[in-house]
Amino acid sequence: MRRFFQAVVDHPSATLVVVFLLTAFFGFSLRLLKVETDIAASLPKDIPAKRLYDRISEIFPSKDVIFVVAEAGDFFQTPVIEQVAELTERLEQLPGVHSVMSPTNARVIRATPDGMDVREAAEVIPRTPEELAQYRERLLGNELFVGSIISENGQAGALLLFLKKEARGSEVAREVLKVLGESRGPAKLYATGKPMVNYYLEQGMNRDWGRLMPVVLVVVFVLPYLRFRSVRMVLLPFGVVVMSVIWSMGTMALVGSPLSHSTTVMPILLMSIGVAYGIHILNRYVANSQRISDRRELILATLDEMKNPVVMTSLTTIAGFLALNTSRVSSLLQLGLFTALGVFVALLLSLTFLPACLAVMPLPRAVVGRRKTPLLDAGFVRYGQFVVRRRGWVLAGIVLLVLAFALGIPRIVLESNDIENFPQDHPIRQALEVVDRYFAGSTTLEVVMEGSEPDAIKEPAVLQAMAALEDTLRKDQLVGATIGLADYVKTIHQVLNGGDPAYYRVPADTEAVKSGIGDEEEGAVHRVAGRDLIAQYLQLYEMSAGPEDFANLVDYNYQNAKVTAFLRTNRRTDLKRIDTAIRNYLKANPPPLPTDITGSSELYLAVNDLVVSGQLKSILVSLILVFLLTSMMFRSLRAGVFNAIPLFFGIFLNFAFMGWTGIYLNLMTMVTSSIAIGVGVDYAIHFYHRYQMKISEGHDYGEATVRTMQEAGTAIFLNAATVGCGFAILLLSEFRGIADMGLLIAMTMLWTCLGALTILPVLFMTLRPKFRTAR
Amino acid sequence: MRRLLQFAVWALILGLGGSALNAQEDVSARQIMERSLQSGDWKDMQGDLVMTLTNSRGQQRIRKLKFYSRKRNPDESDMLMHFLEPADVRDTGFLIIEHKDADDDRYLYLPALRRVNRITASGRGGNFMGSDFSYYDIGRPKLNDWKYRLLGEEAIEGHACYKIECLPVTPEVQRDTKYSKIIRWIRKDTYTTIHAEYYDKDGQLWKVLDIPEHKLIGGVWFATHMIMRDVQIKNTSEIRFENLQVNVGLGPELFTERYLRRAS
Repeated sequence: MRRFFQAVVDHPSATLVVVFLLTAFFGFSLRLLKVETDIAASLPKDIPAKRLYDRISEIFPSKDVIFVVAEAGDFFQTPVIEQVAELTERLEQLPGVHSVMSPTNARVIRATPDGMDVREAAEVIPRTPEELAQYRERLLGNELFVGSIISENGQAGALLLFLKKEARGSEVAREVLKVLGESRGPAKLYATGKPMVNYYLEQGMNRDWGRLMPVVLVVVFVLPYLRFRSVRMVLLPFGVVVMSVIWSMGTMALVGSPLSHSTTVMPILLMSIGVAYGIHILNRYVANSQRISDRRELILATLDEMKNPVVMTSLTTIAGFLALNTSRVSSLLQLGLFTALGVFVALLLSLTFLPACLAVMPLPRAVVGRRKTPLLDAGFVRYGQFVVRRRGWVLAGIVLLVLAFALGIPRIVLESNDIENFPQDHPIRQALEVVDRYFAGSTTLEVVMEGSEPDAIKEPAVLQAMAALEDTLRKDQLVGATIGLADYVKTIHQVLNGGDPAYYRVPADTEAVKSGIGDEEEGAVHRVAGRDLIAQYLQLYEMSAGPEDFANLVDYNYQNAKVTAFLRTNRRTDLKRIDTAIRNYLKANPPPLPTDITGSSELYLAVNDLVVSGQLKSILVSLILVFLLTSMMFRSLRAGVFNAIPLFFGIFLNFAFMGWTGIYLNLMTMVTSSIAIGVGVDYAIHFYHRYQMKISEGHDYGEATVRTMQEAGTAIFLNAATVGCGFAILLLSEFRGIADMGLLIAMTMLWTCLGALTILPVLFMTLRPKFRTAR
Repeated sequence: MRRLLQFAVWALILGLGGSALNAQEDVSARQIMERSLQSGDWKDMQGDLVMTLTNSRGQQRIRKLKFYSRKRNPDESDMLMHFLEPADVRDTGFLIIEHKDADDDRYLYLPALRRVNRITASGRGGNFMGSDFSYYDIGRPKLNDWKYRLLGEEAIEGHACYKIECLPVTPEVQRDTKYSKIIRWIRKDTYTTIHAEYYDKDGQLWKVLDIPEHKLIGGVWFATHMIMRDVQIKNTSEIRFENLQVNVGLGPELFTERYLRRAS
């Protein structure tokens, strides 16, 4: 190791050239960085819910849908209808839009004297009161439309924009907003749907960058400056973190990992964490300059002294982030992987770039101020004495704190709700509120029936089962609407039987049919197989309208079909209840074909399951890693146990804090524990290390406690405070998930620091463990 | 509706033998197009039609029909189809009476209901019988809807072809057909289109047509095998004509509701 440092110090220019070339290379790669905001894309492919979802998406090549709502008080006024008709035409022409279904162009099955007819709802814009009344009846009298393109109360209409498969959803979303902005008319317009959410996520991510990056840059610049009062010195740790961000993000770009809602926080995390290594080294460098005047010797001595603590703290941090890999959510996996990589780069640069710079820079100016924290130092001495005298009180205090917080744990809410992530007054939240007020809802639950041969779906028993399932689904208050092939069959059956409501049903196995006008046996009743009737209804519809109306309901050769329910909720508890109810119903009333449940609601549930299992696993793995590392560092398993105790305390308080404040446990906030373990262990290590030194110097446990507090208390506290402040920058994010995450990590720095400064001394004095007196 | 009828009448017949025009002749793109749209001299025809639809997952739907058609006069035709397969729609009949200056009459007979349904054409082009052919694709293109440009000459499957670009004359044509551009490869010897590319409103390639087989029946070139591939959703539709007979003397009584009700 020393030979390596010598090489760096003796060839500073070569080192700097290599570092700058690599930085330029990674910086240049940044152009390739992609953005991915779709949460479903980051689910692991091998979990059953995702596998089913992907398979069904292949059978029913579902298109992304943008939902545009026109709210007008009364939709059935000519100017409103004109506005919507014009909007429909303009939106249809947008690049990336495959088709539009709106209250004006939706196809309506109508009875005619000769049978039935399928026409656009507003082929001609209705103008007279009679025409408006007919139009109203046409839409509101049709179960297929109420809740999907017209609200039940007739106050709002909706346009469904189906996007092309290869279209960039967020780009289409931007164009849609432009068209809506230009639309003139009485209706107020709103837009939602997955592409809109992703568009706003991208926008928010961009704004977050513009807002958070300057702050974090200022912080990592100003903090060292306060310490060293020298711009030149400050530029070193600053350069280290900026370059580590560039290397890490450049690698992301090179391996094709997208910038996601999760990985977007990586630079902030990395800078807050990585800046410490440089500061530590410079700290010792400045102090050592008092006694060593030869620059080469000064640098080498400092590196020799600092390499172990710096390597140790960064290794535990890396371990914490790598533990995120157990979550199996790809965006978190990437966050963990690339932050870990960045931390490693920061470590590497602190040990190469930094000494190389020092080797070419002039020596620091004499003494750079004595510590300016006499108050804090004195405070920690007094605190140390208090702990020695009243360790029972301290213990009681900790127990009380734990008990008080413990009550928060059961209050933890599991919720990976990507809408509540947006601020309350965000347009997407308003749009969603309007959609949920007037329409069926935007979360989907899909029940899929899979036949073993073509045309299996045309069997009356299958369609009857689907119709019964829809009826059951609709009884749930949170189910806004359902849609399935059976709805079409029922409508046609009724229309072709003179509109008699008794025929609004799926045909039975055999049906009595009266021969039509002109038949040789006109008026005679004969029996027909329901299956043939259904097949011919469907053919009639396909020839009248076109088969694409069925694309989302049944597959190409009528082998597989699905019933879609639109839910007015995306809360986990509601989804779970509905999911259980349907599964029970299907168990009690097994349909004739194999049936399964998928849809966005199932993905939400799967995400939440992953959050729970991933959280437990990543805590376990990071604890084990940190335990092993600290055991190795202090060459003692007991040391590993002691160092882990403040972490348990910190994690416990973190969850309790979440419970009390109502912060959701989700994909973002679950990261907290791993970071808390990886970074928070530093305080315990620092304390343990100093305490061990004091014991080996011959002090008793009480004296060692006071001296450790005196010598390390301030440093540990300031370290936790500055790192905490760095993470607190995330509070400025407009996304609730990210802001929550920042708050939680900042608080956890406090908890683990508190744990190290209270629990460890009490334990040491009570258990009086043997410390290795080595080193 | 007129377009559906034109399918039977015009799309089948993609031009006469090329003897009339000398390949050396300097012809404009529009003249080439005009020539390729000329139909043969026939009075009536009958045959079997097999349509195979395949989606991106390899699932297939096969439809077999028997069809009859006759020219009522040079501008108007009648057409009758009887479904043979699939079994659940067997004996379904489809009758079209073309009118030059009005909507066509279109009737569908459903044997399970023993009832004739009159069907009104819905506003938009739409797909022909659920295939990737639109009514516009199989109908005879209106010469004046498009601007033509000769892009050059290319060989397709060893046949020398004119490569012609067709651009919509008005936005309405584009909206109606859903095409922003069509490129056709027309054989220099027979003036039949053997390959074409269709572009969507975003200027992206949407569908590709191949016509690997033409047959000369009764002095008329018939496209007897057509394949349309939707390259965006990766569906394929294939139409084959079999047992084609021309000028067999079909009477007007065949194209009536009464006949429609009769099993094929």
